[in-house]
Amino acid sequence: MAVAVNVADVGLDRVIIEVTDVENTVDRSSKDLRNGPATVYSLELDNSFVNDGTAGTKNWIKLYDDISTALVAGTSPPVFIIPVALSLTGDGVAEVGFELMECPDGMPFENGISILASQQGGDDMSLKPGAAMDVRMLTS
Amino acid sequence: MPVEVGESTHGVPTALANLLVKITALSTTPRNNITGTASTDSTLYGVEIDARENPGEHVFLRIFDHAAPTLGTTDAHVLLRCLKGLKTSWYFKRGIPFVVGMSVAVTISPGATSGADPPTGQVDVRLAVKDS
Repeated sequence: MAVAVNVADVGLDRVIIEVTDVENTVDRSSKDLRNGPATVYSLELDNSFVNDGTAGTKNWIKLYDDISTALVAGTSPPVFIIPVALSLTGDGVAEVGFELMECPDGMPFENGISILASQQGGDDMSLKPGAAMDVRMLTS
Repeated sequence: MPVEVGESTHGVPTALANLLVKITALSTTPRNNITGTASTDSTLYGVEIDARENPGEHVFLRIFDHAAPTLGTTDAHVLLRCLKGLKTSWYFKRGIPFVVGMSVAVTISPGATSGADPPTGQVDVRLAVKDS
């Protein structure tokens, strides 16, 4: 699985985490993104044609407050599930498949942040996204 | 002019969304078709969960793209967690589309279908929706 995590300190105790090519299986790069408890203030969910250059699928991003070895894709219950529209190609629709979710109050993760993506809603994680699904999150 | 639908109130909150749906004391019994009609497209732009009167346990709002979901069986289209005793808001700048119907329920269990235990205190929910 090709998952890369890039971290940028933007000051004021805020850190932007970028997870590229989020997939449907657990590995070290999808787990414990802030090395312990953290709060998420915004999520940029990029499933767009501009991002990947190919038409993708509708995906669901799933966030887990679980960084333990017991975290199992498709079995462990997520605490957040957010759908992201499928990308489209053609004039005027290049940004379809992009969502920006803001939470000014903050979304606290008491154990840590883990993230997966799937073509299925619910807890199901059996199909990985059809194209690169990238996520950027503002955290503290 | 507000329209009463069960315990929901419809109004005109913003230029973007044309419905503000307020549900008081939401629990595990789903409130179906909160926009007032089934089988019509709608888009969700904002959610507020008020769990200040529920200090006992974290709560999970399940939002279904389903006209008559069954809690514990029907997959939630959107799942949001609000910590116990807090009020939390989310805004979706592009909006999340619903095509079958928008129904909601709240439980104390994470996951899309697991568990159906209700919160011990009162949980109120507000949703900003554009109904086509």
